[in-house]
Amino acid sequence: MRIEGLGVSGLEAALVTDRGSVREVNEDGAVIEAWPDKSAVLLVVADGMGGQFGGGVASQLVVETFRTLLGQPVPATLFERYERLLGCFYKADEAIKRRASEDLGLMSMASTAIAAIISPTECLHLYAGDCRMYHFVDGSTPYVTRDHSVVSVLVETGLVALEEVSDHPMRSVVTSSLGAGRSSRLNVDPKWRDAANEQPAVRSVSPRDVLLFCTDGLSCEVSLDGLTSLVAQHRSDPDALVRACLDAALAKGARDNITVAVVQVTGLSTGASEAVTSPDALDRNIEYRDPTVASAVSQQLVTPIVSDKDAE
Amino acid sequence: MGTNPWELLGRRLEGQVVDNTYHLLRFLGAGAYGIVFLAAEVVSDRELQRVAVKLIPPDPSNQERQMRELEAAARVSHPNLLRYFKSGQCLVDRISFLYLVTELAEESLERRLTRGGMTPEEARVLVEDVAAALRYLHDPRNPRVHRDLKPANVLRVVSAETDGRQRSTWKLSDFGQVQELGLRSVAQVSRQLGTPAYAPPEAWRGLQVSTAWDVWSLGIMVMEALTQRRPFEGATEEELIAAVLGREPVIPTNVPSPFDQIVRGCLIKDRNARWTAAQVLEALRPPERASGLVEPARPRPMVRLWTWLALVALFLFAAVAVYLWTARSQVSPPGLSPGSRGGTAEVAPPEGMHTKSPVQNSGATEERPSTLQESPSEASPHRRLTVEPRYNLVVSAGGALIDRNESISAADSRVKTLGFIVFYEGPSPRPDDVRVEWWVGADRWSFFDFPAGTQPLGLREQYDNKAVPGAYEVRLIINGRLVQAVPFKITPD
Repeated sequence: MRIEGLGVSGLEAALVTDRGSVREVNEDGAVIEAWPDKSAVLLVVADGMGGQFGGGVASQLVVETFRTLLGQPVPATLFERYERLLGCFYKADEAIKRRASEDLGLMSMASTAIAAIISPTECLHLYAGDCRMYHFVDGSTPYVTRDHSVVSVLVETGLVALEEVSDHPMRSVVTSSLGAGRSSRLNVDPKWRDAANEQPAVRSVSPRDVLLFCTDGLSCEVSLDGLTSLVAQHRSDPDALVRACLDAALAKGARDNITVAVVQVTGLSTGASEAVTSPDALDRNIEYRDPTVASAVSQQLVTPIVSDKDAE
Repeated sequence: MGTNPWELLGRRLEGQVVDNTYHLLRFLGAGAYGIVFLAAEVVSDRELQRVAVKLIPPDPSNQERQMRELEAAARVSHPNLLRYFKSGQCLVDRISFLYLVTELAEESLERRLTRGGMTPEEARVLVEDVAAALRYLHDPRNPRVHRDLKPANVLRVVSAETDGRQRSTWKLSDFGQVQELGLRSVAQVSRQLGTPAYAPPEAWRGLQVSTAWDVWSLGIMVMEALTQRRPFEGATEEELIAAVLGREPVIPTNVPSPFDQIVRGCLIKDRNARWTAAQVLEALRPPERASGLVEPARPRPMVRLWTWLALVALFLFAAVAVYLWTARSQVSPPGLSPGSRGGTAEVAPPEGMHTKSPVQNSGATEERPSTLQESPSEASPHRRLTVEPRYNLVVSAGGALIDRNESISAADSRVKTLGFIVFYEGPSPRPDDVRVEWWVGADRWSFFDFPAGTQPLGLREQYDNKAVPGAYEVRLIINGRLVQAVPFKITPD
């Protein structure tokens, strides 16, 4: 779970993904990986849609597309980072559509995604769909991305109460997604130039802050209050936090795949370089309950630093 | 710059042959779930006709929906629905597809609107055609919801008529989202939303599906056809949804009557208060049907053998009555004319010609419309006789005629088999829309529509529900006008 090999001073991370209690396969994809110069971390969480096989392929394509960013230096300015990250959404969108045109079984595949470039002082994030980022700051109301979803509009217009969302028939209908899915078009938020934007793409981060990214498999099962409580219990331990989140979702029935990624801002040197060279540490990077997913994801998504100990 | 996977695949498959018969000549476009081609139907090296072929990639996770599309296409038949020819499975370029062969359309409404908005005259034809198709689909006896009504799915089909002229008709296509409601007025909620810009508030709220869905979509489309703008807009889908859910439609003041009322009626957010397709058609009346369309016969509902036997007996019985009645009406005084227009466009009768005397409800049905209409001939000082449409409604119980104001006990076994026939005499195909409504007290119990052109010699329907006691009235309505009514009573045991 814990990303021991992250190597970025001031940040610690953990990631868990699980197929849940109902779905037969895990269509989620995720990666947390540092740039080679260890100046920042790329984090992507993608929720694939479109049938038994298509969803997984779509989310993998999303993650692969974003990982190409790691082959170039971290852009110098925040605006350049924004542009690169935004560009990847459109490249991933194209990649999914092109792949779908080559394989009819994948024709309706699509994915939602959230992606971030995180340094010890800033978090630049963009998303399409209902994958979320929560920014927990000590003593403040958490920041939560606003879902591109039908229920999000229903809540804002007062037609549905927050507590009704988890059981609402439209809870998983998104209004923005990447790929060939017919039901929505691609809309990426937050916008860079939007004076009225209450949710800027770049957020300053400080020590003890917790950034939690997830698919709707978590956010549909565990309320903001529930997550706030879990963060309060495990603020300094990302590993324990992702596990607690997963357990909470499983306890609620886990109707969907669940992926949780946490980045904790430590503000301190973590001795990361030692962790990178430790084989034991590498073996503990990610935990999967589903061996098939573990195999696929470990090969496709996080190969350089991940193995799947629990898949054995 | 976008990559549409359907388009990429469509281009790749041009030139292939489906089922050894349909040569895919050109990729035309991609629907929600398939790819459409212009194709040549070729048998023994001879091209029989040009058709449209839709290839649908089999999707195991959506098999039910895919089969529903094929079944729906095969089952429905109406002059304003795209004509179905054939469906099946095929292998094209080593890829397995379901396929659907239909008549070929000239263009979609979507493409038509790229050339500018419609004139009111054009819009009237469009609305009449689409609403007629919806009225058919929404028939309370077997209601179906299309759920994806939008300009891309409304197609203009050009056909050559017997008089040599070309006729243009708007038709609905794409039954990928059709949902049959069966005996219910609503169906289980579905998360398949159709096209967001045309989806009603209840679609976003996850409420149950009803025929009102299509009427909302029609309202959006009517305004778009006239103004090239939709009444709800949003830069993002969330903004669009919020507008549909919470804001009143923005209808420009230059939308002419009756389209402004139609748009407002179709866009009532409460689906129970929203107009029906029949109300839309009513709002267009009295029509000056601009297209002069002649609608081919639609298939009649299946009638059981015993029902046919009863109807034949009833027909023979009634024929005698009609003969006697016709003989009487031929000596009717001048001034009485049919209760309906004689052609596809209604015109005011010239002075001195017959004017219509609509029968005003029960008790006023003695003045029958006459069959023969005298019309002046410009070439001759003599008058020549032309046959005008004439109708007569007879109502039956247990296969026997019901007299006006007759009382039948609910215990009488005849009430289990109520029926009616509309006798028709006049040009073929029949030019008028015929409706028969059954009323119990102040409530309309049911109604039956026979669009113009269907079955020229006698329309019949069978009604074998158990009737409840009450004051009944069966009304014959021609082109929206009440022309005859047959009241009777079913009394308690």
